[in-house]
Amino acid sequence: MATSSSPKVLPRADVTAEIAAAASERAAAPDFPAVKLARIRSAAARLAAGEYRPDDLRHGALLLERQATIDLQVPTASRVPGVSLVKQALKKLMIWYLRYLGHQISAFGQATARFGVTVANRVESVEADLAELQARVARLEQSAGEDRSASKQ
Amino acid sequence: MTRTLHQFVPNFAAGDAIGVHVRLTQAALRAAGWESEIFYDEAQASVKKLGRHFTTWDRQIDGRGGDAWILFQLSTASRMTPFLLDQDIPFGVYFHNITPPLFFDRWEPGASGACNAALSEMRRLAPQSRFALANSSFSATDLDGAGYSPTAVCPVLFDAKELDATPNERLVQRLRRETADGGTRWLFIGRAAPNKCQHDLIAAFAAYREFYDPKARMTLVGGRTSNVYYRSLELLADELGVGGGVVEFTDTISHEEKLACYRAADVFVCLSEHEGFKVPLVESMHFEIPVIAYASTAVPETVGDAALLFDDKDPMLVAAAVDRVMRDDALRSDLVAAGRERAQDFSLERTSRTLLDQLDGFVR
Repeated sequence: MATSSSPKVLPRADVTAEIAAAASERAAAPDFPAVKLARIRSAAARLAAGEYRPDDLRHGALLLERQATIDLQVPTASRVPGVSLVKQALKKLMIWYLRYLGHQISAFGQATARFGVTVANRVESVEADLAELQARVARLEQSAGEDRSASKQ
Repeated sequence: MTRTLHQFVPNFAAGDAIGVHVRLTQAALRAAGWESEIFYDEAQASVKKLGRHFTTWDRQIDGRGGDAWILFQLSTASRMTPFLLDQDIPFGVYFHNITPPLFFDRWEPGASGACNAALSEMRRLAPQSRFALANSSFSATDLDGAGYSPTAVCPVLFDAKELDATPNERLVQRLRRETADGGTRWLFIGRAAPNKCQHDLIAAFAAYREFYDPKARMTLVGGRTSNVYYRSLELLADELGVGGGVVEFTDTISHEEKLACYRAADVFVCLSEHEGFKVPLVESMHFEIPVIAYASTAVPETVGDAALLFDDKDPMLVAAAVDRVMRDDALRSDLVAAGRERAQDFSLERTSRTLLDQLDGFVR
């Protein structure tokens, strides 16, 4: 493979360390608008890839909810000159039809998503009840066992 | 005796990195005296005539009764995998890497399934593959893990001369006008995909605009791998107050428009979490644009010492890095000089030579 032969004029590690220190220092200044930075960080974090289990019902329902709204802004970009203009013209000609169709598909999708979220809520509620019942049964079995051994003694 | 190596590529497109690599590979092979044709499953109209559909493959004629070799360009699941496994023809693989499904799980379950299928096919091909080339050392470790042997690294082929074509001047002028009274222009080129992390770029850019340079602008070039993710990016830009063209989403654009974006850029920022190799990093260095990047996957080995690399991509840190590069002339000059030199390491002459040397060793 190709190998690097770049001259190391400035020590990169030193520069990156300096930058990190400058960023921290600036963010720690008393007049720094920390709330704004926190808002930026949390907005980006919402879109980060995360671990998910294939049997995660709530995740599936939320995905369905996100996908349920049909985007009518059809992409019109193209690598080929002129094609973008043709696409834009077609989009203008067909938008009335797309709106009509898109509205119905979105409504159907949202209803399905709502059903999914309801199912997820109910399943989680049942799972919580089940876990509580299992704990109660375990406690009862334990106390019954202790009663039995006390009566034997 | 003339050696024959035909390429199989599932999706043959004119402008994407794989399509360019396939065409340049064929040119390099032919210039070295090999016979080489391109077989595809799907192809854009503009490049269809450069190859043939793989179902027209004739074992006796094209495969020379088993004497010819096939180089499979592996990047996705395709009907070519079972076909190759059924042929009694020696084949090798050029691995362009496959995005881990995790990145698509929450956005596009279909794409996530396609990535899983591609990884599964990659493992199925390994026992019969005679050799495997990877676009980076990072990708080579994936090949080793899947059981390929022997493996070698050969960077993806692209021709920097095409970058010296005339850019779309109207776009250059428009972009420059927007920052005429100051303001740094950030650039990132890559399809809108969760592994490219354009959401982190938007956040870092919003921090930069808020805390360092209120006139800054950013151009995000690239088509859509995930439409849902793309829409979320537009909403995120609006939410953080950098929508309405401050962050410009170009979607798919022509080569001349891409060149215009490079010409107008002040800094290239890459916060991707998964890259098998990233051609735009090298292209940026060719255009003497300083590069700041998150040190993930194949990014460090691609940029070498010619970029500012960070193990963290907190918005404030990235914003501070751009600020430093824009204010520190010595650092910027150093990055540009190192980038120019690094880009030479990926010149077509060098990468073609590497590819031919490796194929010489494997195809016997």
